[in-house]
Amino acid sequence: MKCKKAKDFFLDYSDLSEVQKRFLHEHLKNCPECAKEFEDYKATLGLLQKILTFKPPENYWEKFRLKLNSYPPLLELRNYLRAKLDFLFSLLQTPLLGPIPAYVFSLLLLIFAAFGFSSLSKSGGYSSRNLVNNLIIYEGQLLSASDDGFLTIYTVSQK
Amino acid sequence: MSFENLKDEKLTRDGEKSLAGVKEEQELLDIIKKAQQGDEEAFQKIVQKYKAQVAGIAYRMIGDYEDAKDISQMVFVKIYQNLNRFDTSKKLSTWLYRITINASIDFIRKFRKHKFEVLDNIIGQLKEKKNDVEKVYQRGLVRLAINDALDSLNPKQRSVFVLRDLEGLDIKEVAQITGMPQATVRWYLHRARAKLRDELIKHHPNILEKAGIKYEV
Repeated sequence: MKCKKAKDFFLDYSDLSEVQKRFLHEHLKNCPECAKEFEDYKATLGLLQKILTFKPPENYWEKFRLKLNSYPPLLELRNYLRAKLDFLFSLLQTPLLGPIPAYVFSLLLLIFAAFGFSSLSKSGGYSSRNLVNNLIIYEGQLLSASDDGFLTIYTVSQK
Repeated sequence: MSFENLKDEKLTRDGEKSLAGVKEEQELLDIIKKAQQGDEEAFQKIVQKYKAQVAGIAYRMIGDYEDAKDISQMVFVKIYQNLNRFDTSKKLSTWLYRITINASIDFIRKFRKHKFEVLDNIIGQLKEKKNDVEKVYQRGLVRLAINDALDSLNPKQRSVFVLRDLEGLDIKEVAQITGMPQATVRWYLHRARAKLRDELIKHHPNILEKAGIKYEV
């Protein structure tokens, strides 16, 4: 084992497997430099643990007050709404009503399609008013309508 | 020295589970269920049981006793509001720790980097007149060095270090609390330890002497 690997190992000493620990100790026996660094690291970690021990001062918990009662109505409302929402979502998950999103989507698609077609039929097509004083060629025939309501149809022959 | 402690703790925790732990777990479950039904007394029992652990984690994340208390108050109010959503098949402590860690990270990001009451400590100890000035001063320097070293960790590194090396939880639990894969936890831990080593041993080579720690190689 090389020193670099050993240094990586002793950082994670507490999480090493038995085999890895044995390898590390083998190396430490033959490498005083790494052994010294390992001891330093262990001592430093111990120092950190010691200094960061949670020793609250006296009377620490005296002012520990939880304001739990300050907003119970709001809390109840929230829990009520949550329960309703959860119920709705649980409905979606039942096998019978399972694909509700799919139903809704296809319904929306149908509605949009219907709107689309109706608007098409309004803009396209001919009404009788459009014909007045206009010449229209329709399926090889010339159509002409006049104000008095007569419609003349001219057939255009190939000649 | 520290590693052996960790190992012992783990052993006793496993041992407890097989004997008195089962009964204790059942009792705790009953209390949680009562609290979920709105029994405030039951909730106060949960608070009494866990407040020191929650405040301890917050203290180690932030480095200030008063802030740690504020954070634990926030944590317990949050727990109270969301207790109905807690899945009783899971461990309460994991959930509590997760909320505490997240609240501490939020606190660090929002308000400031952490601080230790170095000055308060020094002045307080001098007032007691039990300690001589030189010793108190040295201790303050050690504390400042540790302060700087912990500041160099990012919130994720810091939380895994606090949970694994200071609280003594195992990697699996740390992964559950932080919501990271175990391999990621290991990586963050490794980075955190390397950073602390570099900061403390390389930048403050005399820190162990100053702290009065002696050992033989």
